[in-house]
Amino acid sequence: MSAKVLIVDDEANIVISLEFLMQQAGYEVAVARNGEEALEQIADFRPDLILLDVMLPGLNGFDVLQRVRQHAGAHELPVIMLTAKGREVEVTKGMALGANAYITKPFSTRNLLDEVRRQLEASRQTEIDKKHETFTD
Amino acid sequence: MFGGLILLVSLLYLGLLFAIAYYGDRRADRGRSIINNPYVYALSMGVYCTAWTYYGSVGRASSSGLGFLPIYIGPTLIAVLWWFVLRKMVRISRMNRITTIADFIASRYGKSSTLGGLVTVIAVVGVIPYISLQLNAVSASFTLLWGYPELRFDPSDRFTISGLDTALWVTFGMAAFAILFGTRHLDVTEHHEGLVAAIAFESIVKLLAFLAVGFFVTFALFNGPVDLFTQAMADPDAARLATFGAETIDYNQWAWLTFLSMLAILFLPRQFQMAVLENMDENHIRKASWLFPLYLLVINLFVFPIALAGLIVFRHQPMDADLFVLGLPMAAGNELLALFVFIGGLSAATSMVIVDTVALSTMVSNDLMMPLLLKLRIVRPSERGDYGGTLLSIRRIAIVVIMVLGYVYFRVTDTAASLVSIGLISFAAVAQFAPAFLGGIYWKGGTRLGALSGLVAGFLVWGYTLPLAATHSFGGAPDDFLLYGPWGISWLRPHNLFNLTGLDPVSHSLFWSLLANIGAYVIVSLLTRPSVIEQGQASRFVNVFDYSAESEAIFLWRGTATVQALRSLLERFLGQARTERELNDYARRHSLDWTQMHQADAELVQFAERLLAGVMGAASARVAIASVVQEERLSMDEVLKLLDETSQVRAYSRQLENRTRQLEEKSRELEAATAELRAANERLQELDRLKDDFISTVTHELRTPLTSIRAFSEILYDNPTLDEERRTQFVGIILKESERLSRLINQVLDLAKLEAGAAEWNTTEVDLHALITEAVRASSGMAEEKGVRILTRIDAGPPLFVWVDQDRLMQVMLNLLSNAIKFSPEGRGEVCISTERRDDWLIVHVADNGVGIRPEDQKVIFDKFRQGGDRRMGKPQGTGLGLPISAQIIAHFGGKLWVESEPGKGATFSFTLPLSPSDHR
Amino acid sequence: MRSGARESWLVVLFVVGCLLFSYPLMELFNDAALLFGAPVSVLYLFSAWLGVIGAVWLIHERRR
Repeated sequence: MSAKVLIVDDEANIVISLEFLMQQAGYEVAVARNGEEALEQIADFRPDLILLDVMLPGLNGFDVLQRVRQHAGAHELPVIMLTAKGREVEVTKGMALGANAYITKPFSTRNLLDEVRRQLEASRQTEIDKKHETFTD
Repeated sequence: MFGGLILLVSLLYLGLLFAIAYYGDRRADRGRSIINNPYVYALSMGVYCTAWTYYGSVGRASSSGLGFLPIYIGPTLIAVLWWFVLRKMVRISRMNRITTIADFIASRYGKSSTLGGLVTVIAVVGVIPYISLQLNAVSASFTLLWGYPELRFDPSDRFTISGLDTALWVTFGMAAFAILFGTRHLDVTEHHEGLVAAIAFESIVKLLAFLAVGFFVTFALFNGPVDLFTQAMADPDAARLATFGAETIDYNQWAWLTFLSMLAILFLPRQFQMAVLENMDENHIRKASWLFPLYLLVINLFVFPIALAGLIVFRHQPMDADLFVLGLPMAAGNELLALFVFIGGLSAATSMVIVDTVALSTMVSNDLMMPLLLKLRIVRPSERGDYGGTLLSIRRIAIVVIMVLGYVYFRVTDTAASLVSIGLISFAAVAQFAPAFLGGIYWKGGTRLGALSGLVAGFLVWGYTLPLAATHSFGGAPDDFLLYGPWGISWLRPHNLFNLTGLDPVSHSLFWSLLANIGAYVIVSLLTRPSVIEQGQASRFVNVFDYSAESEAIFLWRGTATVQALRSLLERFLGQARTERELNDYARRHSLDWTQMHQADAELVQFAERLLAGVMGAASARVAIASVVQEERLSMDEVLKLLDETSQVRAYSRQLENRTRQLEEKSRELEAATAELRAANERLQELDRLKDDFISTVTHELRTPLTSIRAFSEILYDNPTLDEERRTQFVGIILKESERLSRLINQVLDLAKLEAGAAEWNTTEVDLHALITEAVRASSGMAEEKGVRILTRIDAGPPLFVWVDQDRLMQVMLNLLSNAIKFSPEGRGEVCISTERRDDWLIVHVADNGVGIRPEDQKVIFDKFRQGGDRRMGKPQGTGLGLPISAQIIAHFGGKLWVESEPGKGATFSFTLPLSPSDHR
Repeated sequence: MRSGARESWLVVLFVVGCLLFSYPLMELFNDAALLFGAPVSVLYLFSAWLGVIGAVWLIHERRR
């Protein structure tokens, strides 16, 4: 089964490019245009990874991240933050809130795809480890 | 009747036409068009009804019965599809500044001057029989009327005045009239408002005149239609006219003629002129597509009754059925009506001759002579000289030549041929444009060579089977050439190619010529590869609705030219004043400064080319531009490399960031060094924070479009085999985002300049109302696209002068207008501009009926990068800098800009300006 | 009327119009007999014509 990626961004053209890249890489894709929609999609679509823009209308990317991490079922969900504000303060803030990676816009499509792949693999590994643990218990 | 009287009334009528045209032009100059409404538009299409309809239809009906009708049914049917086809033609023509149908076809196939020339030749040759028809009808009706009260008509008895036959006098008269009327202006893309007004008026005159005879015949000569039909149908010969069959018209011929006239209404040069080039608003097509057919129906209502009446009244008297319309009132002794009928016929003929000669002479000058002169280097655009006059002289000479050719055709062909049969020859000629034209706007695969082959093949077959054949039949008697074929080769008989029988000559010719035409067009197109420029034009034409007026600059061009060289080229063809005006407008739209710019970019070169195209046609303009531009041909691969140029933009944004960092450092030094200036420093810090925010927002706003540009460039780079549709979509996004980026950079710089007080102000006394009108005109394209109406409520008093920088105030007006349009509801939006005067102040309001602005947003929209609108609906387009810039500008003028709005009820932006001292009274 | 629907209606009308003015249907009314004082064929052609015009009017002008 292919991995599911949720794209959260309010810039239509950026969404189109992300959608194309993810679909081409073989992932199943859903899109949310703002924070509220993102939270709904996380519940409905159950993504394996989120590409999360920071500057969103309404709830911003940090708010979304915070709620994801508080949510019981999703606190290990890999989240890659995307931002056009490349200031260090924000990177720190995002990492502190529990983002798995931080990518600055404009991004290199290859780096992005690598990062997505790495994060998905890492999370699958943790899951396998966890199952393993349950077994030995 | 006294000949002088007929002449006098005719001259008075033509004088009236001049007066109407003059009035129409005057109104247009003052910006109050009388033709900018769907009714005048539909009436002006009535130019379709010429002497053919006016005199010929009755003649046709008296021999072929209902066979006169398909000529009007065809246009009615195709009018159903006008919303698709005609609208597309209009949009393409407007975006490419098309001047004629030859220009249209040439432009589609890579701006080929050969193709333009060929289409011109076909159009001129094809329309000549049609012109001869008008000369024939006017001179015959004149001769008949002159003889009043006697009713004598003998076609072989040519009437002469001072030794020259009337047809020749009519030829010269009409040529002079067409020259005076049609060659007053140089730029053919500017609407001929006066001409259109006059033609619409002529449509009313001929309709009224024809209805008058109709009523007279039906109700005065007979006791109403029932009586007329009952009397007529008693005669079995007449009764046959009301049915279809071998003696009248069979279904086969009916279908061919219907199809032929569908094509004719689209491609006759005069219809193209009126319906496409003179269209002021695409929405007018809606009304026209039922109003124009209704006009056709009404003008045809009495054709059949008049024909039947003529057959009854002239049962024992020789009379050409083509002249029943005039003969019936004369026979009844109603001379006043006869005179009116003659004027109606004159109006039908003159409207055709005027519009066709305008269209054809423009073609001859722009698409035939000018490319030739440029190629033969008789005209050298790089040299000094004014060529506007040359173009006009060519047009005038062309009119005379065309008219004389019409006369010659009239003399060498069968004088007994009916008007309709002459006209159909022309219909079949223009039908040859259909494959290249329709293929060109719906099929990207058509190539220049394909179009050339199709047109040549179709034209040759047409020429052989119709006009050549027409010179071999006198008095309806075919000679050996027609009967047995050239050198007795029977399968070459012009009316029975390959021994085909069962079709009338026109259907026969149409079948073979279109078969050859379409066959050659499609096959050669498939066998040849289009050049890069052809591909570019193909997609601009076929996908015209995907291009916005803004993104006109296409990527497929690179070259170098100096601004100075372009400017002097434009001056030579457009004149100095207009060049100056257009270039200033351009600079204003693109925030350029000519004193700073020496090298022209691709967009400017294209702009210049389009301007020239408006005067001399696309193909000629291309040659002229090529003479001053060092062009590099681009291959498709290079197009992709062009995308790399966006990296330069990226470098620029990096520079901007570096600069910022330096500034930040400097301010920190300052902070350390000036401990004792704490109070001042705090203020400074506050400013610094604001600036920091500003810079951070700017970088964010710059990075957003860059992200798309980079992502899609990489996608395109990594996926060379991406399908065409995707590729086009992605390149389109890159293009749009690049535009957004440059707009943003320009505005940031502009705002920085304004805030630093470094902007140059060129303050003069400006006529506010003129400026508003200009701004509305400039925004009308955008409004039209969104279906928004712009109303101006300005009182008609004396002009109000304000003391401002004209360009800057224009910037404010355009910004407010585009905001208003953007936030108006699609399709039923209304933007209202009004001015009021309060003491020494002028207040300008720009109101829309959009969603309005929430009270909490009403302040922040004047902050940088804050946009109104519901964010959940997606981002509104724009940079968020327009209003802050506008507010700065108005503040500089000493006024103030504010907004009043109630959510759901629209918003009104208003600003004040101090009146110029001369207006303080 | 939705704009997409309007465009479909126009295409339908064009096809219907072409049918109204071609062989099989026209043959049904190919009769010189008088109905309401006018030949049936003439009456048919003009009323079909007016019908097409009316339909275009309806499609373009109603509920804009």
